[in-house]
Amino acid sequence: MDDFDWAVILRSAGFLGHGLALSALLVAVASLGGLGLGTGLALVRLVAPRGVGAIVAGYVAVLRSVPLILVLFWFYFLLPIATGRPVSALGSALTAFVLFEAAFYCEIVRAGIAGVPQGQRLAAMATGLRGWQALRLVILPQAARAMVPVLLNQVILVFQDTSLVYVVSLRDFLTTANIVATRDGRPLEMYGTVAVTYLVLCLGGTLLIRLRSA
Amino acid sequence: MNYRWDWSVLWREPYGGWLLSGLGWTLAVTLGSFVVALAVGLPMGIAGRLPSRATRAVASVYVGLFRSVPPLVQLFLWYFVIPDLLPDAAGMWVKRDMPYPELTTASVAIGLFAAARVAEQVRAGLLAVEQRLLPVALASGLRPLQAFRLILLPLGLRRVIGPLTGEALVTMKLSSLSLAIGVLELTAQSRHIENETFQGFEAFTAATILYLVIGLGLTAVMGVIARRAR
Amino acid sequence: MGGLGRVIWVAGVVVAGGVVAAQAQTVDAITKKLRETGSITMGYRETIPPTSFLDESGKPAGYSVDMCHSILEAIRVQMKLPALKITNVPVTLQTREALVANGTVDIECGGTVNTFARSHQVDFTPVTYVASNQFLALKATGIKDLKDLDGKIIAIAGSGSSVKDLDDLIAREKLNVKLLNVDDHAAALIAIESRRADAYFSDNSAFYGLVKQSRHPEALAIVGPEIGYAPQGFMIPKNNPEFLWMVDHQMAKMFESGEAEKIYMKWFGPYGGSVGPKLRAAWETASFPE
Repeated sequence: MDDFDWAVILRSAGFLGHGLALSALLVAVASLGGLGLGTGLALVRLVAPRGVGAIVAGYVAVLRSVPLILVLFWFYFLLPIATGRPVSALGSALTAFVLFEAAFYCEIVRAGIAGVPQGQRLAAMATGLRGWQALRLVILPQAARAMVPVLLNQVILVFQDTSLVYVVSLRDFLTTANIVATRDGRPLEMYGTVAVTYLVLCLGGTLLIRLRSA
Repeated sequence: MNYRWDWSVLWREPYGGWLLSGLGWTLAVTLGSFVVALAVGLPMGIAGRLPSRATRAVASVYVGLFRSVPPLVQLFLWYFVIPDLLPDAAGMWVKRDMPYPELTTASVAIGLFAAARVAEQVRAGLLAVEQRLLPVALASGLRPLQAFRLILLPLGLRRVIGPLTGEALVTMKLSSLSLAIGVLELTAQSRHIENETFQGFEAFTAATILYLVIGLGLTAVMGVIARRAR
Repeated sequence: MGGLGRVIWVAGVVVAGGVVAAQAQTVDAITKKLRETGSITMGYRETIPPTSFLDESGKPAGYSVDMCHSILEAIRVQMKLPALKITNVPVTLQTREALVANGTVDIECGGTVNTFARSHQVDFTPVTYVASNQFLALKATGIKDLKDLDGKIIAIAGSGSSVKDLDDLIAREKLNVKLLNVDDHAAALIAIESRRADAYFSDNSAFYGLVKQSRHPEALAIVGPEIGYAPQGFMIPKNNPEFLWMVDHQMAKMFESGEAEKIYMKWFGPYGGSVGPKLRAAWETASFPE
């Protein structure tokens, strides 16, 4: 530990900052997009006919059973072919993340809705609300309140997942640190910085969520 | 847009061989990591519910630390940083002479991350049992440590086998991270085939199906273990 | 429907979708794009000086980049386009072929060896560089010849074209070696310098850059016999006969006029390189009469 080079961390702070900004973008889009699409999928499973529901269930099952790295490669390769147009690495990665995380958010939302006591739905219908209204005004708000800690926790998991864009050479936080580590021969300083940053952000986030729901 | 279909790449040599080899490495990393995860995670989970402030603190710190750093970052630390922090001879052994250095490093790194998850599952299982049975156990005259050892632990661990199946699947998915340190596992091989032949659709479909198969296999094996334990 | 049934459903839908999507094909998409928008996408490598790399200001530079700029400018003049917008896209060893094959990149200006497996999926320009495989090793390992490799660890990039040559070499010379798989040239350098591997087997055009990148260039040496014939060219997506014709034509002009040699000497001269007999022969045979 005699020649720990603090200077390399300071020198590359700007570069690392850009990487962190990209990671932030990835988390934001993946979480919001994933939540939106996931909620939609959950609602589809709730109200749609059995065939459609089965397709959604199959989609969710497959995406939860394969590694995220494979999904990243799939979309990196598939998107330009499917759209017939060139797609940037960032576009492929964002698409992959939204579609991947949606599968997880779908299950969280489904569990949240199922967690609302059956009596609530019956009571809502007894007051004259129809199915869709009951869902929107009574069930979902209660489900949402219960789901918040789990949803926030998923955001932290998404943040950790974004480090995987290393495999498609997108310059997120980890990849920029890797570039500096490789170029300047300082793996300890760089990966140490990355580890500590994630530790502070994720552990801090987890503790905040726990405090909030305590 | 040009795409030529050619499903025969999947069984043509050498590509078929690559897929099988990748499958083998995925299974090896999954197994290695899961063994480490159980070996470290079970004790940590139990420590998390032992009637002792000190062990609970240790367990808390372990879980907090190892769950908050992304597994890929942990893998890089184990592969690029730690061997050079060891004394020279040990470092060289870890880097070159250790049998299957990449496999071992990946198993340790992924295993310790998965261990934190296993620890949480074990702790949650023990907590659930504790809430139901601890008052009864204490009322019947057992001291806390006896209650833990004789009642909570056996029943708690039996409950945990179900969730552990989930953890086995998570470990299988995490095994793909080892491609970052050069393990030619299934995902890496499927991309390798895609690079060489451009038959990406076929290659990635094969990998997807194989992962689903492994997943079903793991679930079946864990199911057998669960039934035996009952 | 059981879990497995659902999975088969989804797989079926996805494959059907893929089959439908794969039907569309357009010929001469690049020249069409040039005529309509005056823009073209150029792929480049970031880490193989002096062939293709990022200079201090973060812009692509190098032998291949200069060659491509020259070719593209000549094409612009030929097509009478008022301006040419070049979009630079970084590619890596692993992504370059896929990005060209699916049309994301119109011309890949790095250094890719023309193999029959690759030319089944993409088209290649005439030869820009002739490389062969060699070993890069730390002088401290004492490796000078093939026989010194006994019991050593060799790093090899799985997605390069050197893998087959290495396998053949090992079989032919009955070498007792262990192999370490690395992602790219930079990872190989790390492996050698951290002593995880003893030598790196790759086409020697990459070695110039690697030695320059190293913190202790004097500790590295390029050793062993030159193995194999690795002619490099630029990759272009298939189904672009007009664009390929224009590139072939422009390059022939550059070979004949000596411009190609000038660019070559600008980048490889400082390393003591010069246009070897195989490369010169390749240039001469590509220079068809008008």
